[in-house]
Amino acid sequence: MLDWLLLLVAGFLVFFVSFFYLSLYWQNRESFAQNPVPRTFPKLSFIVPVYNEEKSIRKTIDSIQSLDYPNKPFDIVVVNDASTDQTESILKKIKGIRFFTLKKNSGRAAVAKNEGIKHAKHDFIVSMDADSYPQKDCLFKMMGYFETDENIYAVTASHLPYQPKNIWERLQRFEYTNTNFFRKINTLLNAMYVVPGPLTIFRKKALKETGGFDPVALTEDIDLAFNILSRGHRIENALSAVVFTEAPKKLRALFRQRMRWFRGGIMVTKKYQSLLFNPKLGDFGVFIFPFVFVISGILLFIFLVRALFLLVLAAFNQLINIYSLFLLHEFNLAVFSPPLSDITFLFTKEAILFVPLLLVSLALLLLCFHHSPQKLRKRDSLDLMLYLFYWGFMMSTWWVYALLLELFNTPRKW
Amino acid sequence: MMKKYQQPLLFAFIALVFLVLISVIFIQYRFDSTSQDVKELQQNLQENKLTLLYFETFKSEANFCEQFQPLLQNLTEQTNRLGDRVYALEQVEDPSSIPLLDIKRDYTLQNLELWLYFVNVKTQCPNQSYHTVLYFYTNQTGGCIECKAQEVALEEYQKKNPRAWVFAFEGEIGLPIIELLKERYGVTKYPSIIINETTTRNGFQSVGDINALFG
Repeated sequence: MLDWLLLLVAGFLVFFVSFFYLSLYWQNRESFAQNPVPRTFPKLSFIVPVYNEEKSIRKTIDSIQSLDYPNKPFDIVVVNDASTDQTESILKKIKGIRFFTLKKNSGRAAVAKNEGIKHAKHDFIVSMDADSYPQKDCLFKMMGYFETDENIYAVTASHLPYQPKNIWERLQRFEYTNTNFFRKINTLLNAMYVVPGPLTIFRKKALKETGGFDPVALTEDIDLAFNILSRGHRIENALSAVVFTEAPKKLRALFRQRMRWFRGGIMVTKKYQSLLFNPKLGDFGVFIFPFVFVISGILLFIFLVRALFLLVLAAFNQLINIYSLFLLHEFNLAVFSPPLSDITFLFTKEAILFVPLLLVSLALLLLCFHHSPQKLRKRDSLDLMLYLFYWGFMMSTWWVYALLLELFNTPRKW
Repeated sequence: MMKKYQQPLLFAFIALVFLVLISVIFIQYRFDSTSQDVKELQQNLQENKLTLLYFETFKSEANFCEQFQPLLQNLTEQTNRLGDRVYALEQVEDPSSIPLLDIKRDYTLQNLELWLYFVNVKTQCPNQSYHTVLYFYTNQTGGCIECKAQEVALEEYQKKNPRAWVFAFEGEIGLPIIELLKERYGVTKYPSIIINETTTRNGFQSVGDINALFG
């Protein structure tokens, strides 16, 4: 009874928040994807931390240099975190950049980014990953926000996997599309809780005031966003400004990345726990931070434990079915068939909750793709099914694993 | 937040209430329609019992047993369908759910009455060679790992022997009458079957075993 009650509460919360987001979108649908047009074009410094990026660094620099912007050339600062491959020799050959090599590998992008901030010349700093390629019109779509409010300390872009080919990359495309949309909605609540590594523009004073990126944090981009929000400043998002980034191609790499993200998220929650339910921070303090970082975690845990319990029960029933075949001395399909044709009577309580949840998720996902430059195609159907039925379950399992690692103080790897 | 987002919050609340209502109606429908079917079965049984009483009272219809066959067939099919539905609900609902327990009790009592009625019909129509099988099972998790096979075997047997009637009872439903039956026929484990109210077999019985028991 208690498990069902917990499931019910979890379901209510998920639906309520989903409907609230949908409604919030609807209320702002006309201005949702529009960006303020910039009138001034201040000089920009780009900072790019690199570590063993011999395959992508040239393309990244090329994409920066070919960005449309009236006030060029850019000040491009590349910080080499003691790469062991050919990165440095490639950097030496690239014109129009300044690069600095750290004496010893720090193992943290935050250290290299902070070093880059020290060398940046201009008042606006564009922080980028070395394997990310922005679309040409990105800066036009992003810079206008800074003119609307002096309190906007950072503007983020949407990111998508670069040329997704295999199944893991394709599924990440769905996830990124989903995330981009919800991040935009979060800006309506002044609760954009991440300044993503692939591309974010900062006011230089934001980085000075906050002390820059925390080198201890596993997810320095979430940490810095919390830092900015906790000081009462704003972070905006330009949904239609797109940066393509190299997504993990293999499951193992994806798992490592997610462990870092999930454990980083848990670290940030612990670090900023005093902001939980803090009304001074507005919607971020009382709603988004508790819901995204704490309540969602609890919900995930409940759903997962319940799902695992059902899986064990289903496995046990299958064992009974196999034993039944053994007793009957024949293969009889009746052993595996459901007891009646009236399918509605086979719906478990989980299914009653799951079907509407699936429909709401699908509706939200279609909306996300409506606002994405990469539209949903017919050939994406299988990926869509996998994303809806499998991705969330896999990520939940990994999140719980990350939580256990944090609870047992297992050493963290960047 | 409340004032600023009054409209979205209101919409979210209304949508949630709507969703909850749909779910409640759906869950309730399953119980209500099953309860309704139990009542229909009760009515049909009553009608059949009256026919039997009529036959016993006037002893005028020489071909009663032949005429009675399709009625019996309908009644049994209805009971089996209902049994399947109760079984399905047992698989997906909380075993301690009160509406489910109510339905199970009502169904079990109807099934018992049907069985007793069949015993009477067998006496009235000895030439029809009707057979009855009482089958005891339990749905408690891990309580009966041989029950699935037993159900399949009984279904197979029934397909080959249309004049055999199987009555399934959840042995752990907690009804005194079921306890009485178990004691009378010496049911000590699950599954158990009782052939023609005389022979009890505890444990799994294959189709061949059941055939042998009927001789």
